[in-house]
Amino acid sequence: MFSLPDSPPAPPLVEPALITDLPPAPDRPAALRLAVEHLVRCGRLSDPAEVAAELLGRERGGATALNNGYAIPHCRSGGVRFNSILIARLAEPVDWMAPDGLPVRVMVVLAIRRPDFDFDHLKAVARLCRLLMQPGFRARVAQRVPPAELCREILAEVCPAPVEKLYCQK
Amino acid sequence: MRIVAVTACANGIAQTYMAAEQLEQAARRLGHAIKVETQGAVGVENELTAGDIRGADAILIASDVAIQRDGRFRRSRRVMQVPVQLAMRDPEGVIARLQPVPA
Repeated sequence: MFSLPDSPPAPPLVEPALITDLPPAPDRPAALRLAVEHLVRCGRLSDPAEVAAELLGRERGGATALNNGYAIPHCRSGGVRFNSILIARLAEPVDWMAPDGLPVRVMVVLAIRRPDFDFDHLKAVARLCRLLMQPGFRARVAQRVPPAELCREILAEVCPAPVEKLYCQK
Repeated sequence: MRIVAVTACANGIAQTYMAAEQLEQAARRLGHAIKVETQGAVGVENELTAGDIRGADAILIASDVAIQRDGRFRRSRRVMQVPVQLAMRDPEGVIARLQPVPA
């Protein structure tokens, strides 16, 4: 007979606690460190230093800024406990070498466990990019609609068919 | 002018979707109708039909890579190809350069 491992189920990719406001940060590394600290507060990471290093390393390979004041820092890391999306509004805009030159006001951080063969990290980044290109979604982030609504919208975009996905694997 | 466009980029992530949004907004500002197909990491979305292509006054491909199913456009003299970066940076300039050619 098999017995199930006695571990709590993974929390959803994004939940209201992961939609937050962060204090001013002088630059990109500082903003990313604030994001990592918030992920730690939400119990999402096992090794914050490693996640911070992965996020910074990704920025060195090419800035993750999109247009319209958004950036989408992302990593796959052994320091991630639970796959997470963090939406963080910055108190002060931060220069991020964006294509349109605008400083970043909102970070959408994607932190994915390594290894995780069930989660297509690049597809999720692409789906998030697509969502962030919709003026309506950006307006809802700026207008601070209830976090649960934003969570539902993000999950619908990034995990469009969770049940089907569950059944398709193995 | 009715415009159809395809956007794609090397890794299929940010630029494909940023260029699509920029083109849609610029076309709206300039008073054109536009439909943009994206070919990215999540596959082909908002796919251009044969009817869309037949009915278009101008066809734009904003991509640095070979796009999927480019045979759809081969018989048209109205195709303009630009780097995806240019569509992101100067979408209005790109659209202004599109020349409607009678079918």
